Amino acid sequence: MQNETFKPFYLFFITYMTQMGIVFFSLPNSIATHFGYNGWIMIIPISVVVCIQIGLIAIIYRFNKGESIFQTIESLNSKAKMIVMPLYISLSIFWSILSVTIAKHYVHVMKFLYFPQTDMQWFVLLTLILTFYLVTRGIITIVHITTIFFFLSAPIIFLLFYFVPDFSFLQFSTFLFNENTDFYGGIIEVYTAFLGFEVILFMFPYISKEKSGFKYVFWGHLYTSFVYLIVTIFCYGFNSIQQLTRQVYPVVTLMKYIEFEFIERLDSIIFILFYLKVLITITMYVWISLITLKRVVKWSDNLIVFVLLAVGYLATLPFVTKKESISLLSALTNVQLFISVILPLLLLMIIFKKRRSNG
Amino acid sequence: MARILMISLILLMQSGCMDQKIVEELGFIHTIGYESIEEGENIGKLKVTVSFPIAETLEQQTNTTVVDTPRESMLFLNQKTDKNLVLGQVRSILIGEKLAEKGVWDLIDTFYRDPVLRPTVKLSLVKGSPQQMLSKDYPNYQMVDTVIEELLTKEARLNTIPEMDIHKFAKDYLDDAIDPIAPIILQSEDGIMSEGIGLFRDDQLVTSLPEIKSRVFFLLTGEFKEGKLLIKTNKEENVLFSFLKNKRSIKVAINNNQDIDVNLSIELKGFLLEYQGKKDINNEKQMAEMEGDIQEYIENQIKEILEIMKEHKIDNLGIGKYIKRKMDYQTWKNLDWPKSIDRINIHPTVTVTIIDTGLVK
Amino acid sequence: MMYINKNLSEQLKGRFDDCDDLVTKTFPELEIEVLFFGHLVGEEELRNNIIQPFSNIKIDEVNNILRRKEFKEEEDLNSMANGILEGKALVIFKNTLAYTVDIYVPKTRSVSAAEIETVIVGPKEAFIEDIGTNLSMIRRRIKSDRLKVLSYKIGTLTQTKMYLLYIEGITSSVLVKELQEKISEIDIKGINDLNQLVQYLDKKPLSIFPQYFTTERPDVSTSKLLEGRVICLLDGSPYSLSTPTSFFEFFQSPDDYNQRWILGTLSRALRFAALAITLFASAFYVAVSMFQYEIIPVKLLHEFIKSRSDVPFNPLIEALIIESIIELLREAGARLPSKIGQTIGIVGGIVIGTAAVEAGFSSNILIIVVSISAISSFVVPHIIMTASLRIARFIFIILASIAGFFGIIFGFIILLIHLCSLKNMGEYYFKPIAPLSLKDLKDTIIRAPYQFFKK
Repeated sequence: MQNETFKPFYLFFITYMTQMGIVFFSLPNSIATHFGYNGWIMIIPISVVVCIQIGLIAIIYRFNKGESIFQTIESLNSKAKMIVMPLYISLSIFWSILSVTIAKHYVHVMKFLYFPQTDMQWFVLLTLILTFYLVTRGIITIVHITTIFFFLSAPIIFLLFYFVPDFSFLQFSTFLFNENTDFYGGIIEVYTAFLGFEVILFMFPYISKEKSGFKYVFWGHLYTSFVYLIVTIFCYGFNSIQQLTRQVYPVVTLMKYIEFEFIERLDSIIFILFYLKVLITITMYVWISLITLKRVVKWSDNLIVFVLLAVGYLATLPFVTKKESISLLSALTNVQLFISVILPLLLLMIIFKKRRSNG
Repeated sequence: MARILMISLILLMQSGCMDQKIVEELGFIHTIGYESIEEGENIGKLKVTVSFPIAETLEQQTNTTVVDTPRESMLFLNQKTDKNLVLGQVRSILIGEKLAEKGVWDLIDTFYRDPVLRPTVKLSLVKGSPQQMLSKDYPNYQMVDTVIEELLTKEARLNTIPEMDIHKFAKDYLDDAIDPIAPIILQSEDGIMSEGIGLFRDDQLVTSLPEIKSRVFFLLTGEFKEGKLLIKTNKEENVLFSFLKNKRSIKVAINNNQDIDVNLSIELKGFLLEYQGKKDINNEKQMAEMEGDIQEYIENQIKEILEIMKEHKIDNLGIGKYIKRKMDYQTWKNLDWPKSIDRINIHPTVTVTIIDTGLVK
Repeated sequence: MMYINKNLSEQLKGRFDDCDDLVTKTFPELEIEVLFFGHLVGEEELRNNIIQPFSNIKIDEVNNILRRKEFKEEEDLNSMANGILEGKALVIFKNTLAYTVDIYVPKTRSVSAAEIETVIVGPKEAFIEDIGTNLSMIRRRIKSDRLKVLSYKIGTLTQTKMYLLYIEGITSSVLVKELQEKISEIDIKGINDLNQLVQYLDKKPLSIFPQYFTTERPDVSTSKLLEGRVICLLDGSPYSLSTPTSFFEFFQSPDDYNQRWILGTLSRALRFAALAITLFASAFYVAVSMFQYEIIPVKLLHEFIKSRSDVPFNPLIEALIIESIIELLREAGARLPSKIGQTIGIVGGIVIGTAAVEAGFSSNILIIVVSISAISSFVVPHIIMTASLRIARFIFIILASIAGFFGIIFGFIILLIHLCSLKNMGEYYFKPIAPLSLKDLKDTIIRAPYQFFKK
């Protein structure tokens, strides 16, 4: 990996692009199903919880003074490196399986919508090839590509203006959370939509040191929350609540509605532009998988990434149907959620212990 | 980079171009018509008609088949043509009246599920047989399906029929506070014409509103940006009120004893350009009287519409949405709208202003 | 120090044996022999520096003349021969002493207007083949002693002169050193043109994008120097190269700077739109007609299928055929003398296009798409980039035929990753988009008024 650093300004793009992923398409539907009437409100408290999480990471960053968290863990005591090695390996493999599962899920939706006959494996393999290419170029290239992708896919939000005439506040009614199911399961699901911020933990040594550089992560998260909120509100206003609970991908239906003079059915273009966002999410997880494994083995980057992707691909090969795919994905994201909560706390404990022992 | 591209190109070639849909090999179905068969040997079955343009000549081809369920129809229809029929460009669905009376949700749901179809597919009811409408040779038009689609769009803009697509219909059907509506078209001697609005209870067609009432209907549902209203006052006058603009507001008041009062007020402004009668257009006092007459006329029309709604226990105006806002969840559920529509009192008020009366004194 | 060189004249003539173009002029009473290539020297210079001084003098006055500053003493046989090859005249005195006089006047064309990089508003001069004239054009524009010129010779046989220019204080010395190293690594027999030199210096020959910026305009070279880049001039080549390069340099034209900012910005915006069109237009057509037909609005659909129904091939083959025809026309137009070239342009464009549609070879919508994308490729100011874009366009067409829009996005991502990871002499190729530098964006995407440029 390069020894170059990038400016913290890029953290905004990284945070937003990694957080925004496949959950977004079905987000209004899960909110409507789990929270019922006016369920979009729940985005706000969950976003605040994630903000607190990011705050923890910011504290770790400040105490760490920019050194890698691996060093923090390993400098705990002399035997620490031995102990954590199996942990690194399992985390690394877990993250590569998670990435491939995310890829598979997106490909599944894309295949279902636009390429029904084609075998899913080819798209998965192509995605993995792109991931390989991108990850092996190094974090700096990944960061730059993230920025470019952001400017390519972000203007889609302006298309929401198309729906302003059809939007009706009447649809909202004054009920709150009626007709909900599985409220707490819904909270977990919406929280997983915000996952992605934890990869910032692994980026500490690559961020160039600037005063209050970490605020860009907060801005990125706020922007993600904003996008989720506004799209969900539009979905609530555009569809009746019962309709929203029936649509599996309300965002896709929303996009299908757009018609212009010279072009229609923009959803095919927009959905495939979304591929850029999903690719970044996958890339970031493969990248943290890479640098975790690098603490253990001394292979070349290309070899490690190839092995990780191959392992992930073979591990997810048996999951084909939609149900299997979704259950695998939710299992993995729940584990990732757990990791995203535990890991910062663990690091904080280690830091405080070090501080105490240093006097 | 070159290596990556090479490998991926080879992989891509293998994946095959299985999903290729080459444009000239496809039959882009433009309109689908459904009707139920009422007599003969196939009674109770569904007749499905599709029409699509032929690439080489740009004429229209129409095919029909008889099936049990709508989902089978594509299979059989494909057997009758050399083109590969696709649904990606379907623009409108025609449903025969008799079929609509039995219930349309099954059909609509099929369309709603399919990712290939666009949610903006227009929906309309046909008085008569969609198959006849689509397959007849019209002297004035070459391709009927385009004509139908444009007629629906234009008349909706002039507020004589609603603009109904699958998405809106599903939205209204699934919403417990409103019942859906649909435009009605029929075959005239030399063409197609729009007739009025069909009112549904859930997904079954119950009744319809003819021309004049349907225009007044639109005054009630929201903003009227274009259109004219022909008014025959009881003083044997004919008034054409044009370039209308209206503002509608609904206020709901719930009294303690569960009585619901709905105040439906409409403010209507327009130009009076055609008048046939004894009044003098330039006399201000007479114009004020005229405004009063028009008001009365419209109020009567509204009352008649409300009567129809109460009679069939349907709410196509969406009054339920306003009532819903004023209640809590349990009370709303207990109300069991719109079956309890005759419990509410609706007071319509109409205010009419004539802005101008034309160029000549 | 003089050491005895026996019989210089014989030795030198022996080296230039069978070089019948070597001219020998003798002043036998002065024991002076002058060797030079008649076609390399200027007549006036010859007269003033050689013939006049050595006529009508006596032998003891020769030393006075030889002490003049234009006469440089040479002691090494190689440098004497090189001197003659470079157009100097070698004066051999008493067959033991040798002096060179520089009377080199190359016969080249005069400075004319730029033919390839034309500009609407601005100077019209272009470089010519003589390196001296080219250097003078740059020196004229930057009258500063901080403009440094380093001289090299490339090619063991051709001994082509090369100048490396930079401005001390603006250009980083690391850059200069790196370039010097690269030049010293070149080991070839000969070189003809700067564009060949560029390929020898290239570290990433496999990339389809140009790694060095070449131009035939001195004003462009001057602005590159002022920005802190290094310029190279090669004798015999009417181009200068500049490094480090970035992708967006190829989309700038002096017109942008010479006109008001809003015109400059709009031209730039048009160029980027042209970039997108030339890369994706045909691929978009192929993707839509083979995979995503639902994008087409109804009225266009009828025209579309009608025009396609006459064509026996599938859209991919059709697109490739028409694109290849355009490429053939382009190559042919470049080789033909100008008068015939114009006719062929009209014949090719109008007649072949119309005939192709009527014969059922292609649909008229595709002809429009392909011609617009061809025209867009000419909007890019530097043709080197155009060539790369043409290659990319073909790849996109093939990708579109395999996987529709997904294929296009796939190719696009690979392209972007490649561009973003390219580094050129330590600087990123895709600056200022990656790394994002807002102040450099002022001059790339738009052209902000000069008041906003920092000094």
